[in-house]
Amino acid sequence: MYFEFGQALQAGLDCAGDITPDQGAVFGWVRHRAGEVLDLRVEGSPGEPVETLLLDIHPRRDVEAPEGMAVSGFSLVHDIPRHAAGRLLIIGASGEMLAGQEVAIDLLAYDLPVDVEAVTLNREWGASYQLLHGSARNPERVKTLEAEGGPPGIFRAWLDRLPRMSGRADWFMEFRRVSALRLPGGEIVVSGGFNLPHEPGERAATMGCALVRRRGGNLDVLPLIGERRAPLEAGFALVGVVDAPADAVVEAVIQIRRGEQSWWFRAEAAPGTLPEFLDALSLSGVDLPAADQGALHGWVRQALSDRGETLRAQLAAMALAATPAVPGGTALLFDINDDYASRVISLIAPQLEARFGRVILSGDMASRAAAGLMRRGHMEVSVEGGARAALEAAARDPGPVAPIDTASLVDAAIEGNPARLTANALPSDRLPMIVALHGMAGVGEMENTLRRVVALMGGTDPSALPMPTQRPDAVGGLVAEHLQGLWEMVPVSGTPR
Amino acid sequence: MKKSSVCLISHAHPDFSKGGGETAAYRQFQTMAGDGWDASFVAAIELPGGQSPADRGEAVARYGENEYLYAVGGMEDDRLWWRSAEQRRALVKLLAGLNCDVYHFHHYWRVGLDLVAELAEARPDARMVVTLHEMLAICSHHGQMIRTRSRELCRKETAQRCLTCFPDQTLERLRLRKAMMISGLRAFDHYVYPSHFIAERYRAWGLNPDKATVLENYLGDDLLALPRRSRDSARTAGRFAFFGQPTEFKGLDILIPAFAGALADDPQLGLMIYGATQEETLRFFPSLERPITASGDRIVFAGRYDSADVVALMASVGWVIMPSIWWENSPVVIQEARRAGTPLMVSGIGGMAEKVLDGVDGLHFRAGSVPDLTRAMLEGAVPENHERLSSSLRDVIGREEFLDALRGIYAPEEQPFRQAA
Repeated sequence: MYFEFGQALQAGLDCAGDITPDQGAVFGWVRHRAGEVLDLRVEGSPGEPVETLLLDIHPRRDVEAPEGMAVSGFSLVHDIPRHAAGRLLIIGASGEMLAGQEVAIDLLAYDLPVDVEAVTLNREWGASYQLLHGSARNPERVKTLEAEGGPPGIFRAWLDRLPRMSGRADWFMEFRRVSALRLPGGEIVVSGGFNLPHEPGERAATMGCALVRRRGGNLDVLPLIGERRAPLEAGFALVGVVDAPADAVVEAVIQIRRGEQSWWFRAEAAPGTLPEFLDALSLSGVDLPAADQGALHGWVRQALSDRGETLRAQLAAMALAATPAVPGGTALLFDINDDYASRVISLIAPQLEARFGRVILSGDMASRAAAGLMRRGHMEVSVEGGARAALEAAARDPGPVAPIDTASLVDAAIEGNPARLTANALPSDRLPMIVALHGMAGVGEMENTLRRVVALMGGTDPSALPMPTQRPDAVGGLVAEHLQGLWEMVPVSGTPR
Repeated sequence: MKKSSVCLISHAHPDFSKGGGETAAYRQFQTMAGDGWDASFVAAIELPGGQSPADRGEAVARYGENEYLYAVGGMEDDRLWWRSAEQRRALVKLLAGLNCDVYHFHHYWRVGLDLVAELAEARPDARMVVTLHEMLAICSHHGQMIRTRSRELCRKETAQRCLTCFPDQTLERLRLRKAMMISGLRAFDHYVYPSHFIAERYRAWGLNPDKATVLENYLGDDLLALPRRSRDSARTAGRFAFFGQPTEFKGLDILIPAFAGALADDPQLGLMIYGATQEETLRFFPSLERPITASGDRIVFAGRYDSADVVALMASVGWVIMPSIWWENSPVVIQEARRAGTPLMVSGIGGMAEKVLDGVDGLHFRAGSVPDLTRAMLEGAVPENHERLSSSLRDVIGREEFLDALRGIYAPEEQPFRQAA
């Protein structure tokens, strides 16, 4: 419904309804002189203020803006005071023409649409998106997500309309090499390149929040904590942290604006390794023009610096101080991928049996190694599918666990010194820290992380341990430095090798 | 003093192959049996199609008095490990059931490191001994310690050096291989080496030298019984012979051009090639056609020979030449020549240099050097030189010395070992 308050101020209201019994919403636009700052609020009656819970101002390209004028779309969520007699929308502006003056629209006097969800479905998507984004950041104040039976509230139908992708896609909408990945700690990255030309200087502005489906089906819309975006022309990247359980399905709900164009989509973040995450963050494999190289470098440097600082406290708190294993503990022999390793284990079986009560093996040849040990019948033997499962199995029972990598196994065998095998053990309740460490600083599979931990327990300088090969440019150097820095934050100690 | 009951386990039986290791093992068995020891001989056999040596398909078959053959079809392809735990257990059961005081292995290839470990656990009271005839544990290149690409001699094993020989491998796998080998070999109570050269290689590699004895292979009673005649240097000084196969590292491609060169200075020289025909030699070394042609009838390819005749054949010539370009750990050819009383010309490396003392048992020349071998041949063809070296040439280890050394090796650990020659 259109309202005109002279040449310098007009307004259009799309809806004024209730979200819940105690919260209402007004959607619409205001045309005002360019440069003026709008002041919008709701009052119960003249002079009786109602608390504004959320006010989002967004572009409205569907409303004409003559020269010298601007159009501001708005979404206003307000409290509904008990016993309020009426509901007025107060429009003011900071400019000269309206300075000090305000106009009011009686929201109950017109036949304005009241179905907020229905209007949300049909509004300009940017307006809905920004209200969603704002709502996710203020869940305690704003009930837009609580309406209509709970999250995602008034956005349910609109979200169903968004295009979707999952994990990685070479082509999606007007993008290429799109990645949406998630680390176990909740970090999320969505990135990709544009597949259409742009005006020089036009940079992508990316926003995100997360639609989280918990085990059991409960939905949540959560903000990306520490949300940060790359200011690129030919690509986009967004990182943040989603505070969701590890077994939840997380979809990033993304808005990208560049110049006059906008896109909205949902991207299910696939679980990824840290190298994959960093590849996505640094847009590895996305062709970016020279104009973007400096911005990319700056983006990666800042994003990784922020990441390092965010993780510093967690990494520094990891108490991975190994002590010699005591008899009867657990040997965690991971990385048994070579037939020779299984043979070595068979040959040193008596030494293992003298020092451990239980052995957990993982790797391609673990079953073969286990068969020999089981046949002997002197210790409890189990085989797990990988290092992660082996760690989890080892953590289930109390007592010290000695993680033994191939290098330690080889050292013990070549030197004829089985004490090598028991040199460094961790209490089993420390093992989940390694899993967490892998999520934050892992440089490949869990085997790699565990191998690094074993090396650090053996006194290896973290800077001496190789990092995975990075892209051969300055960005690759940043990534390598970042990874190196993370590992230097972890206080691992033990008996030197 | 009661003699120990000893089971000799060998990677092969000389009835089926004529390698130095199995020959030495069998001669040891025969000698000990002849001396009244309670000895048995258990040897691997690889029959066509992986067939069992036994009528009913058992993995182990009796093969004469106190002799057994076992099939290796149940082993992994590398013949260092048993794929079939059942077959391995059957063999361990047989060996343990022999109830010997000593289990003396010759080689671990076609025996299985896992079998050794299992037997050691099954018979903790028995003494486990191994004679290491070669360096397979140290070197993946057939144990030869020759660089795969350059054919250079390799003087030291490190995983990094091995990786340059086997670039398709990984450092980790090469280290695992060493870990496997050395763990397997540590199951033995004592190591016997047929030369100081190979003993030193295993010491440098990591085996405990305090549990080791250098003991020359025994040539056997038959060869030891042969008379050692004095040389007729005037007649034989210029007559040379080679005994061996025309394989890559035996050095025929050094010997024949060297002989052709020496012949140019002294047309009376002669060279016999035993163990190879001219066709076989040219198949391996086509470039030898010219020196062979140039040598005319002064070079004779005698082809195969019966090992029983070897001492007589060696006695008929003035010199036995061993021009190998690899180390040769403890060549039986050298022992046979020394037994025959025929001085040797050998490459001055490895087991050859150790077993033939330069100026005592013969002459050394630089390994792989045609002109230096030519020089040695011309020097050796001088009758006075030949006569001098023939007279100082040492004989091989005798029966009693050999058995006495074995008694020391088989004795419980606290008794001191004797270092035999």
